[in-house]
Amino acid sequence: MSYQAEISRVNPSCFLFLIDQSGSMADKMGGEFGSRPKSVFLADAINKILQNLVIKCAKSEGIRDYYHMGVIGYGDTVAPVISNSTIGNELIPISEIAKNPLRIEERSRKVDDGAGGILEQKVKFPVWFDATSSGGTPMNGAIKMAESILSRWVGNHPNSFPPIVMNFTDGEATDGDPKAGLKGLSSITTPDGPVLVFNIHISSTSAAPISFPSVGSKMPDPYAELLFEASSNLTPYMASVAKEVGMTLGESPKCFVFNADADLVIKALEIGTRPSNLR
Amino acid sequence: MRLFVYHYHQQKKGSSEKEYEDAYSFSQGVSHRPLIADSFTVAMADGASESSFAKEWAKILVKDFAQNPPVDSDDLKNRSKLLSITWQNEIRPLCSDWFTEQKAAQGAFASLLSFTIKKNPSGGFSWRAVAVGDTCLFHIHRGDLVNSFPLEKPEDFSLSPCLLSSDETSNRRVFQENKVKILEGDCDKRDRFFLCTDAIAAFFLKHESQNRSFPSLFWSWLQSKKEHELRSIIDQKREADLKNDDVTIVSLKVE
Repeated sequence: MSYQAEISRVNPSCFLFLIDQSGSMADKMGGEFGSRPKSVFLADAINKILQNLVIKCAKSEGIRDYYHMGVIGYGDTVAPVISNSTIGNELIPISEIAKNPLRIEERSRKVDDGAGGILEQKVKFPVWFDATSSGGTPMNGAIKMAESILSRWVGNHPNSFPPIVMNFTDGEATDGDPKAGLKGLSSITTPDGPVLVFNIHISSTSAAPISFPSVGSKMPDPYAELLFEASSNLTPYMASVAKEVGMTLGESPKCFVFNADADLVIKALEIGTRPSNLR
Repeated sequence: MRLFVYHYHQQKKGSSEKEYEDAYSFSQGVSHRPLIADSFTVAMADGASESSFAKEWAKILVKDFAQNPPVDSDDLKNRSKLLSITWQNEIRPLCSDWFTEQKAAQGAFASLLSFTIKKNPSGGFSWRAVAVGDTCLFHIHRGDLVNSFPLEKPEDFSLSPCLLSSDETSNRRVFQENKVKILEGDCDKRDRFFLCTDAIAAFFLKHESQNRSFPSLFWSWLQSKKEHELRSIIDQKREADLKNDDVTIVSLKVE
């Protein structure tokens, strides 16, 4: 059975986020986050996931390197948006991520005071990269960079839980058909299974979202069809997390969301990154 | 009352001794010689590895409850509030980074099992156990498993048991949903008791149902006092069907 490998310091796993930083990501998110550009919302969401994963790996003696992380932005350029000069542009151990945020902001959040009221609480929010939105959508370039990085990583970590790639975009690629690149990504494989590829399409319109559709579902247009076909199947564990966060799934759900609103982006991130098999 | 008390612990494979997160404590000192007492208490806790400073929380719990076993759910609730202040004071100087501070703010979690055995004035012996979570007590009478508490079957173990937290708000479920379990009973001379944290407890239950001599086998492992042999046995079982997790066993025999 695939996707059973234990995640440990000896055999870490990895997350690689590909984020669209094209000009259209300056459009407003809509809905509950109406006034915020998609780029700001997405940067906050991924910075938050990085924070959550750091905390998940934190122990009293320090951070356990259960994960290596990377974020590749594609817009004016295709490049890692988090880099560590001592390690270079490859995936970064989570302990290095923890020690090197760009800055730590103080933000407010509302919490239940336990007596029926709401309190405003100050919390620290580490930021590893800032939102940007400019240029075209060189998704193909980002996918090829991801393929190169993950091929090397899997070669160096042959017994690990397969890498998870999450591609966030609001539009079509402008540098060529990403189909072959996406196929190349999901053909990178470990003894525990192939790389898991999520495609999350973000929309600021009121079009109906499609979330984790079953294999064989019909898509509304060829672009959605391309991303849908290129997405992996949810693992049984991920499907259980999806149900836990309120999703209704059919048979053989795929790691694919189309026309996602803010709530769905956050749920997709939770489903894709909730740790399993962590030792 | 004469008691033979044996104890053994081993950290999970791949972790160092420092990373062992179970804890146990006795109401009085224990050695390889039989212990003479009218009353004796063992407290055992299994710190949840997903939480931070869980080892410290487990140690604080067992130290207190070995000396004063919990009376009931309300007593446990009130005392765990006070113990959480002890925990916060202990770990505060260790939270120098943003991530250690935020992880500690989520609280530490642990299972807890307290077991007290007494000699009855009228003769015979009685015992009382209080549990939150999946650290288990097994009572063996004339070779038979007569009590398994609080879990009874290998299928009862789950990935997310209800645990006692150092954060009061996280304990609402424990106390509002009656997750504090209490069991009392009597026992005879030569009865044996095993207290085990979850991985070895699940293993024990699975094999006990298949092999009635398993408790005796367990006892002989502990009595052999050869730690390296027991370590080797545990490592072998981990290659088979013993989950790779901290192992803690305390065993008592009534004489």
